[in-house]
Amino acid sequence: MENKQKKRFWSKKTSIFAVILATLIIAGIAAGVYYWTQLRQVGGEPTVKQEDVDKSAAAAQQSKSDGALRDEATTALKSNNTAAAQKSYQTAIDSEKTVERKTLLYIDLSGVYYAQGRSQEAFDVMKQADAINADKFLIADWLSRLYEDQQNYPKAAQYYKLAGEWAESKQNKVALDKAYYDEQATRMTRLAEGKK
Amino acid sequence: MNIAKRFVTHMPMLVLGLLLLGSAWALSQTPQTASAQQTPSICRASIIIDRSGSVGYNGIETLRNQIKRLFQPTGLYDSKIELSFWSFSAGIGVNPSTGGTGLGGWIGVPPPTGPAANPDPNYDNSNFNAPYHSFVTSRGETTSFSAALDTVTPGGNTNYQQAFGYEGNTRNPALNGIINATDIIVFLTDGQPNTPITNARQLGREAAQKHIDAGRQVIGGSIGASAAQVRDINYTVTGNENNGNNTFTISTNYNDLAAVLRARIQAKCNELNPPCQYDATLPADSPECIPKCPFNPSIPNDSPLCQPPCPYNTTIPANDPNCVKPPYSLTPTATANNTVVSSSDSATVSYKVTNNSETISSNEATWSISRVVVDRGQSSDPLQFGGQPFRDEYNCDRLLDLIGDKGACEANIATGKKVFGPRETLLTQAELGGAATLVIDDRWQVGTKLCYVLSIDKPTEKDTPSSRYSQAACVIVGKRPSVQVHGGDLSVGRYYRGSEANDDLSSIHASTTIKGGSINRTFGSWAEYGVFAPGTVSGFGSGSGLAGGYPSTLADTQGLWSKLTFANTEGEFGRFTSGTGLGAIPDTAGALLRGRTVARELTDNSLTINGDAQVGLYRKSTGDLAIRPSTLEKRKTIIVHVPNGTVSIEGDIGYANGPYGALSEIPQLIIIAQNITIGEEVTNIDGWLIAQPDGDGVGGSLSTCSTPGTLTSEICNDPLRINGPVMAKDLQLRRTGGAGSGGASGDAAEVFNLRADAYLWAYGEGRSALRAETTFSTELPPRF
Repeated sequence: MENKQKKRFWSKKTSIFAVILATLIIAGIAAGVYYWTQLRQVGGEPTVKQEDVDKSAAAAQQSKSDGALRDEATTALKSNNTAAAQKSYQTAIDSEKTVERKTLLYIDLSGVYYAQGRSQEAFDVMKQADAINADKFLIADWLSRLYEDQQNYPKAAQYYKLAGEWAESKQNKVALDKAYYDEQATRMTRLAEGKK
Repeated sequence: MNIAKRFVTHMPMLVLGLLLLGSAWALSQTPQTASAQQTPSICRASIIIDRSGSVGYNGIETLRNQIKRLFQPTGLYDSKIELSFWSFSAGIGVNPSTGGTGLGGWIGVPPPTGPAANPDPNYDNSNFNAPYHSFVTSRGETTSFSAALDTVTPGGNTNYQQAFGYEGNTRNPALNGIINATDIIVFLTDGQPNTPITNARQLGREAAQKHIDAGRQVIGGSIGASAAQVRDINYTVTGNENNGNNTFTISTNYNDLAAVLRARIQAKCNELNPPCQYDATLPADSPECIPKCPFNPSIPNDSPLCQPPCPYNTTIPANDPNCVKPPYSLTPTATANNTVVSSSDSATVSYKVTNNSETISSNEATWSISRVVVDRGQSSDPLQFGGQPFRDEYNCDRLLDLIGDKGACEANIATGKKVFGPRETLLTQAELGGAATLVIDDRWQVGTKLCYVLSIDKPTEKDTPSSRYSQAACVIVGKRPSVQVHGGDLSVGRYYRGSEANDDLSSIHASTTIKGGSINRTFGSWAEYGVFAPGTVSGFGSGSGLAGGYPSTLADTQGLWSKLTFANTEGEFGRFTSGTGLGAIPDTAGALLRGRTVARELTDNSLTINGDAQVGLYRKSTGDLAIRPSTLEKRKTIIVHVPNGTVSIEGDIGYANGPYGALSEIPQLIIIAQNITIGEEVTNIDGWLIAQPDGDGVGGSLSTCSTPGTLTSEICNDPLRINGPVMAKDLQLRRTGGAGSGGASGDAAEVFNLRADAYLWAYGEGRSALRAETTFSTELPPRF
């Protein structure tokens, strides 16, 4: 009798344990499925690629390098040391291997001059870029904006038009197309004529 | 009771304590307010960049470059606008209560210091809003900002809640510094929310609303602008998926990103910090935003010092007693482009006012034009004021006084008011109207002078003189007499045999008169047949080209009415040959005189040829001879030869009317003299006129008007017709007749008419009863 009771007790205890275990297993599976689906990123968008990370890191490094150059030139110009600013950039430009990068540095230098209120130097330095780069897109794009900022609308219209003609350039990394530049040229022409 | 008593006892301390707490709270609040007001004009916008995998690396690269353009000229490029950014895709398994890792991501810097102790501003793979960067000025690129932007790399899903910096109700502490300073949140995404699996859009909406509740503006940009995505963004930023007020769209390739962001951010910043309407560099709520003095922006508009500058001395204000108009003096001038115009012709008169000041404009002055019609016979010279350029205090009556009231004066035929600038001012055609052009018509008698005077009231800075009148610009109503050659050619440049040949290129120059109106023709001198000249021919028609006038409706080209003007040079009229190329004048006189005996040796100084006149050669070897009015009857051939004197024709000479039965019945008068003059009253001469120089080359002149001196329309104004050949070394056409009005416009002053009777008579004279007989003949071989 006692054994029978004892067996029944253990049988009941086993059942309870089994139920608890089953419950735990089911919960575990559910949790696993949940996390699995989370990890699968149900939205289906690609995950980060290592090559993109590498390219981004390289771009950031370039930005830091360009920024340091810009800061150095700005400091020199604030001390009215134009030669030093020019020299810093010239050294960097000379060490660049591609005309696109050289041109971008000339544009950076032009921007530094312009930010310091040295408009004429900002325009002058672009002549050096013009001399080395057969692809004139970057130069026309930059000059169009400088002229617009100067409110020299006829010149701005002229350079916007040119930038549009060269918008197919591989050096165009802003995806602006001919239609965009033509629209800007038209806007400049209207401003030049005194219309809004 | 005991409790109540204690309460009452400690009440003052309690109140004091509350006051202290209140003060402390107030003090803690005040600096924040003051701090917020220190830079009220700075507008800060945070850009939320979607770096989910669907953007792709190329899209991210364009996006970075477009955002960098905001920091360049024509971007925002504004020191009053600052930008920050953070990015998002979908970090998962984040524990919002600790900020620590879940299974796949975490918030910022891990514990132990906890979420609030973050941030690490640098790129951190663990932070679902990294890369991010705090605010920098938009005027020029900032190195760290550009570098952080360049580390944005695509990958992962789209979690709108995390886009707004939240996980559940917990804000990403890494962004606290940025978010707390943000005025505008610009949310950019290329997709719909897909993380977490359920309720993703609503969670994003709730996160956005937290920013809105905190007073931040939230706008959303849809990249690609699919309708479903736009609805999601509308809902996220406004709570209504159909409300697009704060939603904008960007093209799929991001090429308009900079332009759109610039416009949107500027617009929102202007809403938040409206610029001062008087000075765009100031905010509207700046204490310095007040109307500025337009003449001196450094002082308020209502300042007593705000005065316009003195127009004559900009260093002093207009209300300064020393601000007085400097002296100036206006001189009116009238100028006619033609001094003589013929009937139906026109002339223009120009008017100018000379201000002797190099810098000062005059006060507004009234100008007017008066016309003085000076009668024929009265000189208009007095209206030139004896050479003085102007007269003050004049009027029409005083002008008429100057010409002895022989005329009329009409004031104000044109008038107006004008400020005359420094130096010269021309009155325009529009101002002058009909006073600028003078059209002559038949109502003006030839010889009348039409004079125009420009006057100015108050020509100086003072009230006196009250008026100033210019010298008159006068146009004389005149005419251009013409000559016609009928029945023959006009040839110039020949010389008498025995006289010295002239190498000069003799030319023919005449003038034409163009008449408009109902006449509308061009009139001038012409010959019926050819015109020959070694020099140029201008204004003289040939082939009867100008007979009766040439229609003005056709081109005014000499070629059209000079068809028989001989030239050997293309494109020019005349230049027929070299200076002596036309050869000598035939020795007609010699031929006519040869073999004739003198029938009558003249001793008187005058001669009248009547019906009983003797036929033959009349000679007056010395002295001059006057030929009175004469008529030659049939069979009368008379040659008057005055080799060393002048024949003065003092009356008409004619031939008796026919009929003639034989050549020998044709009368003919031949006058051969050293010089020939024709009296003013003579209108017709039938006869040959040969003015032949003497052996020394002296003489050879033929004048159609014997009255000496300057010609006017009153002198020798009867037309003259000469029927017969004319030869002269020097032909002086001095008649002023013809060139009338209306149908008489084409009448000539002189007509030289070589009629058939001269040819017939000459033929008869040349005949002889003698005949040549053939006494020998031979045949010759042909020659090739």
